[in-house]
Amino acid sequence: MNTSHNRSFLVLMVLAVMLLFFALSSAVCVQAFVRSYKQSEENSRRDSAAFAAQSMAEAGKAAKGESKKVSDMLSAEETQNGAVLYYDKNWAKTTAENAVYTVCGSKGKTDTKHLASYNVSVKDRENNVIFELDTAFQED
Amino acid sequence: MKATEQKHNYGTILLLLLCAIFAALILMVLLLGAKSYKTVAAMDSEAFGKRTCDQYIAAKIRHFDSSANVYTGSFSSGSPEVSTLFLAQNIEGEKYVTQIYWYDGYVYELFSAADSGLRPEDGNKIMKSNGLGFEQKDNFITIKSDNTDGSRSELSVYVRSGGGGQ
Repeated sequence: MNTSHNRSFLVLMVLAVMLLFFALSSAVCVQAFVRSYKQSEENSRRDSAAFAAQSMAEAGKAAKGESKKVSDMLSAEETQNGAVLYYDKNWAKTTAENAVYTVCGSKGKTDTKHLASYNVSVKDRENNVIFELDTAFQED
Repeated sequence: MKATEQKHNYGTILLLLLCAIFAALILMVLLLGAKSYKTVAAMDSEAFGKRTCDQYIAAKIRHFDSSANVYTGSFSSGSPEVSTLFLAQNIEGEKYVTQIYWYDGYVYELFSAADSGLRPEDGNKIMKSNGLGFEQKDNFITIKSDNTDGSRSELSVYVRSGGGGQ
């Protein structure tokens, strides 16, 4: 009787240890799943940001940094800080009120004579910079 | 004796119950993992689709960006509604054109003599897409693609040589 009791206790202990080990490993797995999902989402967001920045940079170079021309080319808003494009969460163009992401392009200076820069930054709603792109072009 | 047997039965039931819980938890974690992998793979595939199509076309524009060889318009013959990007080049005095366009669920590319009379279905399939259009403002070309996930992406490319030649 005592032997039988001991054996049951032993089996229960083994099961408890197994459950504990399983709980620990599944916690690690779930954490890895969540992290991979977040990383993938972040990559996708950065890809789209790079696309938006690339378009703005191309326009900036074409317009020699003139905000008015850039705004005309991309149907962007002209502000004191340069041309600004607004995007919603799906990266479709939208208005400033509904914007989740903001792409801002402005002309800058370089140390080299006759060479100007056009700097583009993509920010989210919390004003965090997601992507930055600095280009240079020859001034007339 | 009976009491011992009953105790033994409870023990077995408890064991079976624990095993069942264990199996259910394993199944849950496995399903969660599979779902997570599926979601991540789908997201990566969508991102690949978005990136590749637009970047491929942008790279093609840059490759052909010399002496007004890049312009947009409608397909040269047969389907005037097909928005097409033309990348022209002269080979031994004859004009050849690479046409990139969307037709029947795919992005196509067709390289032929300028007056070949080939139809959109004669091109090579590049990749699956829900739609593709081109817009040109002077030397500024915007590629508009409808992605397979229903979203729309735009990429603008500045044609440094001037573009617009036909």
